[in-house]
Amino acid sequence: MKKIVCADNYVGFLCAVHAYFTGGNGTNSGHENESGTPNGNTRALANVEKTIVNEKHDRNFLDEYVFAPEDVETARTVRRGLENKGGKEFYCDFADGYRSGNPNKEEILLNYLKLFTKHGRAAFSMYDRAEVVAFGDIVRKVRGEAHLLCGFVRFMETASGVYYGFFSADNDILEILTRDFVHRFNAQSFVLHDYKRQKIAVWDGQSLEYLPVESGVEIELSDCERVFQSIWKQYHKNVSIKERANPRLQRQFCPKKYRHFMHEF
Amino acid sequence: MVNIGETQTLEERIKILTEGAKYDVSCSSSNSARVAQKGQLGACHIAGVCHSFTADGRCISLIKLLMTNKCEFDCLYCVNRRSNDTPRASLTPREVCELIMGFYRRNYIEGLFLSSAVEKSPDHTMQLIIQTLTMLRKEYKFNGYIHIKAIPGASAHLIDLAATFADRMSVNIELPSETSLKLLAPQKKKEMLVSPMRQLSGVALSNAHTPRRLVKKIPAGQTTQMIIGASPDADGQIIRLTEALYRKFGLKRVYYSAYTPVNNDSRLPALPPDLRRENRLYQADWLLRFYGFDADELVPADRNFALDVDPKCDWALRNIDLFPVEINTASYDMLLRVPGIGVRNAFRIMQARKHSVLTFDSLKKMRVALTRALFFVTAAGEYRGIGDKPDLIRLRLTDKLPLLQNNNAPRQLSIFDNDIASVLSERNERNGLGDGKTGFGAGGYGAGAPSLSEFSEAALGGGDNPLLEYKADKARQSESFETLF
Ligand code: SF4
Repeated sequence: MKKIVCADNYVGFLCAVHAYFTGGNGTNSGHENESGTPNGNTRALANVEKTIVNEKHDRNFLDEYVFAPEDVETARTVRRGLENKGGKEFYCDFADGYRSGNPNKEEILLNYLKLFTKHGRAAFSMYDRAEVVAFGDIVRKVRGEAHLLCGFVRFMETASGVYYGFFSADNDILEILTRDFVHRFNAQSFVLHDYKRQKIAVWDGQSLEYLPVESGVEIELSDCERVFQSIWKQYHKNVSIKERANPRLQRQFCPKKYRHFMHEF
Repeated sequence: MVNIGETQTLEERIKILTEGAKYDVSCSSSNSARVAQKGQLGACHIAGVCHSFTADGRCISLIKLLMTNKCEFDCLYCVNRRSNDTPRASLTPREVCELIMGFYRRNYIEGLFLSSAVEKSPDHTMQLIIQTLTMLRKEYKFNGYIHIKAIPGASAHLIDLAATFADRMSVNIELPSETSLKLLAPQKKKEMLVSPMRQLSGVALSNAHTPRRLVKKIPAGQTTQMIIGASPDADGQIIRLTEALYRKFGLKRVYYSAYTPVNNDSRLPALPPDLRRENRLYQADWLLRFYGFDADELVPADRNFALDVDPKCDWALRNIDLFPVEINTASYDMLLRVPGIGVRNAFRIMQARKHSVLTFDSLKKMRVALTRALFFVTAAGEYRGIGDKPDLIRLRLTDKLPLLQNNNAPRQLSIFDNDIASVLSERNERNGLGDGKTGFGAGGYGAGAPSLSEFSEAALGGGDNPLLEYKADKARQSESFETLF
């Protein structure tokens, strides 16, 4: 089987998609199809069996591997093509699907694209097809986790007045969360730290920046921070009705894996 | 009354006032989409956001506080009642504002649910609440979610003023009949509850005419709460009242709270009701709002819901002659009535069957709850049920919950609210089916499934509908809310 190897980032993946559907094999950057998108007429479905794998995947001796080089322009072309053919909502779903922590996300996204290539927009509602179910699952997981963490992330006030929050998540949702927090804390400077993926988002009330962080972040808390944390903990405890204690239900909605960054636990 | 007064610390007062507020079930922050304003703090998500979950499994979205728990009234079921010997405390508007801002900035909460006992008079209390809201919105520039309680007996102009600052208001009916009200909450008169509800439903209606640039009053509408099991009122009566509240007063939600004995009084039951009753009421409530059921179809007025199976299964078993339905041809309305098929799956079945003939295998892939559905459907002609034997099916469908097991905590769970909100937001966004939208939403970040009323038979491509005949049989006179209550 021919495996198109993509870099471990979204641009790299889109370039591999381009190579897959245009027949580009990585030796050129693949501009031959102007629309840059899958459609039924390309050389895409030529007889050779192909797939896309992440560069981090283990390789074997049997398959043929070709690297699809990263190229922002090619990625943009693919994006435009997907938006034009599938609509903005489809593209958003697709892009959010790539944020998934599922190790097979490249394959799942590719399979969905193949179905789309064949059936056009009708593919979106083929809810009984395995490709659609798998795609729906990863997108829902990404968005579901982002929605949960949008409530679960805790910020702390630092001595400098900037708020700092950290989290770790199964999916790469820093950007989704930051979008939400910029909206909600528009007038408040904050730093949001995804420590599993070692990157931070910095919002200073005007502009936004994403930065990699190699090591831990040192912060000095403001004087009143501890007071608020203690009132919050007490509130969390008191508002529960003792007679109806139900830790199983609590776990179901607030999984333990997130609790280490929630001050009340 | 014990008044510790000056000697209490802020933390002690918050503790007392949380204790007094925690029995109010509503904590939802859905249905309001406040857009962030420059220089302000806060925005609201249409689907609502849960910020934590308590040890009883309930969501914390809003901080629930009382301004004060010093009450002139003496409602038998309430911890704050005048005759209770309990510590009393109050917060000033400034203290409430500082607390909310501190919590909001740290992302502990989505906003505030402010309520109060009746201190001095209903108007005095309402004014205190308004003062707090004005400070919060104007001085602190808080743009997050605010839910407030309309104090029973407060003047109409104060209720109206409060509605300009709040996202949602609620008047708690608490007791589902006038007789129970007289017995258990002697100072509250029916009119003190009905009139602010009527007024708020007018306010919500007038929103439709409010120009876009102006802030709407209570954009998230009004809600109410009823206590289950403090009075002898049956589920049948409660769900009829609920239906009237949704249909006549346009309420957004009705919450149910199983009575927790907090006071000793011979006029109150000594034990809490079976918690499954509360769960069944929430399920039935769901059926009224999203599945096209009428209260009359679900349970007789003087009866409680069956505890062994959920209300939808119960209905299907009583109407077994309408089943099985063929999954490939049944109408959307009918699919919604099949146990095991929810709103999302009914929608997906309608869509998927345009492309291929659906089999049991397809249903499994779509994660339809086949353990329930298989008794009521055929797929491509195949039937896997056990025939027309409602008693046997009932046994197979019986919930495996031991009596009084405490695993049905109040179902004011955000999951549901998110579902509703995504349904609602999708209603606004979608213009029809087959428009090339993918619909893979979750929580507040995407679309859910469309609501019932959205889709006419025509839009969904028709299908068999034994319901039409059934519905014609059930055509009934509608009762007014006032006569029900
Ligand atoms: S009015 Fe009744 S229900 Fe409300 S706080 Fe006072 S005693 Fe409790």
